[in-house]
Amino acid sequence: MLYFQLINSSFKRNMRSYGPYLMATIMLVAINYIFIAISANTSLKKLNTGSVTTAMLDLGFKFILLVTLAFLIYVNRFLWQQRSQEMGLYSMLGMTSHNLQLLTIIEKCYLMVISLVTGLIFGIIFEKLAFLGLGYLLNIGHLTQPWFVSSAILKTIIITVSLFVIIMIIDLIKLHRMTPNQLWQPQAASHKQHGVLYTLGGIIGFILLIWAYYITLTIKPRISAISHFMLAVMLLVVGTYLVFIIGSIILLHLLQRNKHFYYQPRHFIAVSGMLQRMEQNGASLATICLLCSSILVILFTSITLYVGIGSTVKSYSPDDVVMVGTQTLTKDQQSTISTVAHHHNAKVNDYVHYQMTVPQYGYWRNNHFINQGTIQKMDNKTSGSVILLTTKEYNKITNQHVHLSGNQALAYANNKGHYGKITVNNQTYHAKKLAHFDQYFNPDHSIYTPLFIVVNKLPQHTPLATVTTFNYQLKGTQKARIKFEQDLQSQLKMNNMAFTGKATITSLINGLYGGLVFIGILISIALAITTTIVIYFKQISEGYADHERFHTMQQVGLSEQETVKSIHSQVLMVFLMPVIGAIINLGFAIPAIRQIMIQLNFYNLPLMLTVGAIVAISLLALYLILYGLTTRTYQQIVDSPVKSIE
Amino acid sequence: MQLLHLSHIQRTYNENSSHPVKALKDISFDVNPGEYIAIMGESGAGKSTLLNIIATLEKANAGEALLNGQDLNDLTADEAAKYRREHLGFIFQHFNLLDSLSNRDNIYLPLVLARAPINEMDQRLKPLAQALGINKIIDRYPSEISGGQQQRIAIARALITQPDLLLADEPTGALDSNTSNEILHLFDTVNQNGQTIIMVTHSAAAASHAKRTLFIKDGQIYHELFRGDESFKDYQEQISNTMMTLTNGGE
Repeated sequence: MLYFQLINSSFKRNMRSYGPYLMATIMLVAINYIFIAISANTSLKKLNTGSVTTAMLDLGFKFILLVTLAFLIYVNRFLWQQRSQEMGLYSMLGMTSHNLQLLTIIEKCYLMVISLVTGLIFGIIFEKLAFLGLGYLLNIGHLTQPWFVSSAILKTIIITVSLFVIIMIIDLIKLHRMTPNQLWQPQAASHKQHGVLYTLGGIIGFILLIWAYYITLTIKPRISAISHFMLAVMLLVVGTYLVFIIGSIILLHLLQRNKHFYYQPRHFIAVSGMLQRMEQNGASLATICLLCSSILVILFTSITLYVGIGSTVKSYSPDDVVMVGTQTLTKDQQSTISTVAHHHNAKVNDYVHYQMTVPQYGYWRNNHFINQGTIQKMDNKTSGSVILLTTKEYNKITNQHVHLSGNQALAYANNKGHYGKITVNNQTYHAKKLAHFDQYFNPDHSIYTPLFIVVNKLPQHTPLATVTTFNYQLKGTQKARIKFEQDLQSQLKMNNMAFTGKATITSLINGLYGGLVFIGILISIALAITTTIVIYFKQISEGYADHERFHTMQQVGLSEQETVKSIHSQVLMVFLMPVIGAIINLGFAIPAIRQIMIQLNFYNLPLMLTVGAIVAISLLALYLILYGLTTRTYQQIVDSPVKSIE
Repeated sequence: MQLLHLSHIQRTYNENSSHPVKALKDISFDVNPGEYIAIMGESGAGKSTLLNIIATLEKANAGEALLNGQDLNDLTADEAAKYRREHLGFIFQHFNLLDSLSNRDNIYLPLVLARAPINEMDQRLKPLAQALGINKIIDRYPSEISGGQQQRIAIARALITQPDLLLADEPTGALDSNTSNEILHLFDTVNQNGQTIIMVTHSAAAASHAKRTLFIKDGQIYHELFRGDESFKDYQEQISNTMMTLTNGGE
């Protein structure tokens, strides 16, 4: 079994590359399995938000699959460069192309079996844990999942095998095209001369980036925000690649032209080294940058959503139960409430009921509110809504004795709001901002949260709504509360717009966003793993490339200390560029995400900034640890005994 | 006063193992300023080890190595690096140019490491580029020029520091015979301008350009030849004959 011996010895010698490669494929197999197994779960489908979660899982899974494929192809290319010399040697020693093909196939099978078996074992263990985590995030305790999901195992095997078949075919094609001589000789580095088009490409890259950032900064909280954001993301991807590949080289050339800067030992080594690196590695650095950006944005969005659930629930339902109708509760309805409450052993109290105008939708032009009418009249110009309330009702709700004279008004909104001199329905008010308003809520659950304005007299011909809210005490779990609320709603024969129960809405939103957070975290882990490996392989390949360079420099008089120093500063520069790019991207993404969040009723800016900072700092910390670990390997390679003159 | 003084140099690899390898057993010779010395010997004779010791890349286990009065064994690794870039110039068989740098920057490299001002670098390069005939290729990259041209760039890099001693390791080993001749003539010119050169080589043709040739065998100096007034051709034949005897076991 010569083949196995050859492959075994090759594995042993190249453990530096095969080790991390296997680790990454194992983790990716595991994550793929987790996604498949969770979306195959039957108890999840029975939940009322289960279908949404499953749909999101499917979407997430497709994304992960793409990442896995891209990663396998990328790392395979790297392994190929390492193996090609070995293959060349075998071929020179008389192996036929048939033998080499067989060798490649066996090698790939070997890698596949190891990744598949270990990946599935890890996957099964982690899936169980992940499912517990999902149950916790969804706030539901009764999800069950068997240890083995045979359909998922089968699906994972099929997917993994087909992915490996793809890279196997790629390798075989490469092998077929190469002559032994080419296999044996590494490609010589060549210097490309760049023309005007090239410069133009760099400038276009910068323009695209600026355009993308401009979009994110100016996104309005409209329905179109998400599509604008998508456009910005696309511009950003293209822009990042262009800037990393071309822009960086142009910048370095400019630095090189500044002789006083360039001809200093540290800059000299760094700039020339970077120039060469960027020519070869611009694309992978851009990829790392984009991977980091996606990790940041996904984590940021999902965590903010999850942490913000409380405030969303509050804006949907300031009290335990909120009912909106055209008139006050009838006697019949009141007795229904008492009967149902009695039946569920619930104690109802804190009854509040008041009248206000139904939310008026429209848009603001300076401080003029252009009224379009009720929620049905909304169009793509719409950017806000307004609810008017009389002083009398306001005093009733808040137990105050506020007195307003003439066109004075009080206003409250959970977003930026409009205060001071404002005009609504051709009536100008002097609105003073209220510090808080406990009954503030968003009756339509619409994306345009209303501005509450307390005025002396409501304008005529505006439809009115009556709001009744109460709290209740109920001994029992969240489930019992949901049951009570649902029972109440069906007995009162009210639709979802008219009746909102806090427990019900909490579980609904938890289910929706908890699932999103969970998927976000899984995707981030997958991306983090791939990023790590991509960085690791970059370091190794650059270590080999730099070995000769530093060797020569030491011969002409670079001391060891200087070598270590310049290695560190150079590697750190290359390393930090993508992550700094990613943090800048996040910084610009936040305003846009905020606008989208406002649509989803999340608007807590300080919270968002905190989450953003924590996410960014954790990524940076993780990244630096990674840098420390990989730099060691890099240095070992570069510093491996300086061969003296041969 | 001698430029380089070596006495009883010994170098043993794997000293503490069961199979120590004695690369240099006992080497002593002196080099005067302006000399042009070739060191010849078979593979494994210890030529490269000797050159590495003079180049401060390795240290002798015993014996004394003085360059310009400086004991090379006393230098720490970092001092050695500094010493190399101030006092020594190197030329290698495979040129060892950095492909990330333009030819000009390759030549500037040792001066940049020594933090020389730009004006001085420019001024030093001009006459060198003229003499070495590299004016036309100075702003191209090593990967874009021929082997002979690369070696000219390497020579410029070695000479730009105005070293006390130029060390060449098989400088023509990777070149065809025509290009080799050109490079060797350049060496002659450089030496005529007062530059001391030590060259390690396999080639009798290369060695015939030197004024003195040392033959090393099994870590010891076996023989020494002086060119005197002989023609290249006669001297080259003499070297070949000596090498032949050396290979055949000697008398």
